Amino acid sequence: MLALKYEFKRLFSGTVYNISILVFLLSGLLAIHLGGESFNRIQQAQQQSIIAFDKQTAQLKLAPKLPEMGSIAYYATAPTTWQLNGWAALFKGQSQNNLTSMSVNALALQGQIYNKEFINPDKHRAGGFDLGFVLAYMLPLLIGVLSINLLSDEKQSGRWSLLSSFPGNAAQQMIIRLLGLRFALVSLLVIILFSYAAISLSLPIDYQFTTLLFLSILYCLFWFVVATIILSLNKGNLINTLLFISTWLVFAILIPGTIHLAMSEKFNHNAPLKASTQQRMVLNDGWDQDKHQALTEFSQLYPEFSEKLTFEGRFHWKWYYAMQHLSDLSVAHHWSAHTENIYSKERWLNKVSWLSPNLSFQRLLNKSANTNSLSHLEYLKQVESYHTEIREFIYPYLFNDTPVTVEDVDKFPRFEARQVTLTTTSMNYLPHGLFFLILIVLLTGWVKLRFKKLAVC
Amino acid sequence: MNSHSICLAVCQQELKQKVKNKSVWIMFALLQLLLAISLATSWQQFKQSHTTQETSQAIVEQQWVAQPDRHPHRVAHFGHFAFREPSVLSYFDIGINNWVGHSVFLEAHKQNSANFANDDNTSELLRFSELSVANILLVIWPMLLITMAFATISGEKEQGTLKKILAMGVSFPKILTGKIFAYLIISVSFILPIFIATALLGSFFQLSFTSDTAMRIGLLFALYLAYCLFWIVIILCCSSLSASSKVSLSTLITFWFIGIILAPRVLTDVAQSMHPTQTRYAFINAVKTDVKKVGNGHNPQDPYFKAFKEKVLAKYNVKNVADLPVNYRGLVMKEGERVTAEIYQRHYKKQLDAFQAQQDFLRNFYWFTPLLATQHISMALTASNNKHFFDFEMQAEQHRYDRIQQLNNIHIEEINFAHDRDEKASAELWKTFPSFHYQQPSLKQSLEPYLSSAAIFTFTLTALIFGLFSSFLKRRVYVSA
Repeated sequence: MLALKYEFKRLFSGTVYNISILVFLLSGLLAIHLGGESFNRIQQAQQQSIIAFDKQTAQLKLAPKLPEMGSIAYYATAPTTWQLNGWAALFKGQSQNNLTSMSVNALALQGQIYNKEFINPDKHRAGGFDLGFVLAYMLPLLIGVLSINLLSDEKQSGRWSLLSSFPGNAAQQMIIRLLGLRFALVSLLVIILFSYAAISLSLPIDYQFTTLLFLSILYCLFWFVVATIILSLNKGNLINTLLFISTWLVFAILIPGTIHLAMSEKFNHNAPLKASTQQRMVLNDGWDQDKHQALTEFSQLYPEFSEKLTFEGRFHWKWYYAMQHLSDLSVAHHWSAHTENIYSKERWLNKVSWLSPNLSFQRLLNKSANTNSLSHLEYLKQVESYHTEIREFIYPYLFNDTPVTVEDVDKFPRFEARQVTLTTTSMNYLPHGLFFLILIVLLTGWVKLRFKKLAVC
Repeated sequence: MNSHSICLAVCQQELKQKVKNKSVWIMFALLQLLLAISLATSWQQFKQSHTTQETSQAIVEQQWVAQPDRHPHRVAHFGHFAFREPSVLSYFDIGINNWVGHSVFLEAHKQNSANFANDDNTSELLRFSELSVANILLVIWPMLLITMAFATISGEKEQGTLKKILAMGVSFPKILTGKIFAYLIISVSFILPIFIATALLGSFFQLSFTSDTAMRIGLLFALYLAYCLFWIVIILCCSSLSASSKVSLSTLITFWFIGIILAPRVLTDVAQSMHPTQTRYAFINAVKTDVKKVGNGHNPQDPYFKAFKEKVLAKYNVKNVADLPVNYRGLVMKEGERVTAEIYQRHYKKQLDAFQAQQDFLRNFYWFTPLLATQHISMALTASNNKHFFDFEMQAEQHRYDRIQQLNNIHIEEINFAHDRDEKASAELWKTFPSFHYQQPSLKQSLEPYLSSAAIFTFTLTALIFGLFSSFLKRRVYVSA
């Protein structure tokens, strides 16, 4: 007990140590605070979009004579929301540059779905700051600062050689004890950050919470093992520091950067542009072509309306919306190419992100917070099916020329925000956890061998 | 020995030491390789993006001209696209280009924003931004400089050689000058090849390579050299003041981490939270609400357009819109477009002001994080910062406005009011529309907003150099040597 107290005192006596711990802790707290703020803004904006739509609907109902459904649907841009939970405040992922509340109307979806959030592009360039950054990229450096020079310091002070002369492996045990102490300290810091996050964002202490906390501590353990490997090389302070920082540079910056270079060579992203330029031509040519033919084409998809295709005059809403839908279909292959592109990018990234523990940990965090690109795509698909719901709601009014009543306005479909649940099963965390665990076991074995050698010399 | 030869000797000695060090060579070579790979891939992407934007623009121009006889308002809804070709030096510093869209759909009544950015889904990979040439020079190179030079003074203190040299009567500033030159020579030999490659690529393969571009490359070189000098001075200061090489190294790494990795992203996030912009949804809604407030051109009872009608009738001295020598519907369209564009501009400007406020906030910290200042000036020189992007959006909007108003003029003059909807304007007219060409800003325009930033950077650098050569530092070194 006394020894432990002494070691603690020693640990907190170094200025560099204290500053590093303080910077880390403050950064983590600030990240949680800023993340909470931006998450609140997202939620407020989502609520406001719903309130605005409610107001619009209420106003519409007050009109002495309700307009026809075609006109109502033209102006009704109905809100949808990307249902995010508090974890999105900590691991922001895609939730910053994408629309978290996208409004759609019954016109062609392809003209609406590629819109993006207004954001200062400089922020992207800077890389963004969230708890995910603090954990995946800063934490390893803190671990390095705390542990990389343990052995060489002990050698300098003479403790190592003194203990080495004792029988057994007292010297080795001392180093392991010191490392254990630092591991406990870092774990405590992580627990503090998680608890603060849980309190300030009112996250439930559930399976997800404990798994993420556990994985973060496992991630710490991994970096402690890396640090131990470097210190067991017995190379002296300067080389140790340089080796550790180089390892960090390679894992944190160079490998992800190289993956990005390779990815932008490998995948092209022209599908959305093609879709929108092509759709414009289809839509516009539609006005010059035979309207009844377009309606006939449409009726093959919706045979229930095939008896009601004729209309008089130059324009009818049913033709208008039929054409909008046909234009969506004409570029559907671009849309599916786009989504397939995202899937294959993800699959490819899953394969290569093992090269960098920081990257795979970061991806794991975003995945668990449902803010990765797959979750975003899932949201877009929800929007797509909602759009279909709206379309199919208005068709009977258009084709039957049904006048709209106040009750009908209330029946207008509303978007049901559903949590995207891609990843909450335990199986999804398993490969990552196992990977780190196996790596840790292998590396620890190697470290043990090194230590034996050290004790001999 | 005279003073020049002392500096020279110190410089030579330092260089010899580095040349002998094998690990320096390996790191140096690896980073050069990385730079080369990065430049090659960026160049390829630049060419590809250039071709995509150029051919797309040609296609839409052709689609426009190929239109048959049509009612001008149909044509206004057919619309047009504006494409942004990548800025000339974006293969050196990609800036924000991957994050912003490169095409805008231009249509009547509605201002669209630029869409289809390259990197929609890769923010996880870009926590440290792309591995562009600029980023390698900004982030990785200082680290290598630190590893080469952290012990340059402190190491000599530890070995006792500094004491000997000083005892021989060599003045400390001379040693510093020699060392600064040694590391400047190393820096130049590191960055010069990539600048030559950048210039060669540009001048051999690019038609738009002008003296403006050459100037930009020259200024970029000066900027990055100044950035290297900044780090050299910081390292020398730290190495002179530190008690040991170990302390020098850990201090420098801490400074590198805080100044380059941590501070820029924290500050950018704080800036955003202090000066928030409207969300896309709120923005669109605000524009819509304001437009609605002015009036609805389709509603004959609408007060704004009623007044407008009276004004028009009075101007032509007729009683009825049908008696006007021009098409009244066209006039309403034109007026409506004018009103919407004005309202949109007002709101758009508010957003830009918020971005500017964020930028100004960051500027307060230029003296502290050398990265931010250099990065911002570098992006201005390569025309890849958000100012250039917004400039594109504004040019596109101006082009949209002119194009739509030209169509409205055709509507006013060529289309008969009585059977408006049945009439068509001649296809010949579509050929009279000028095509869209994004006008790249001149060097002066690019750089103007950053002159004060450059001044702050220069001032900080000068202050640091004065600090390095100050008698305070000299005394400290003499005492500790």
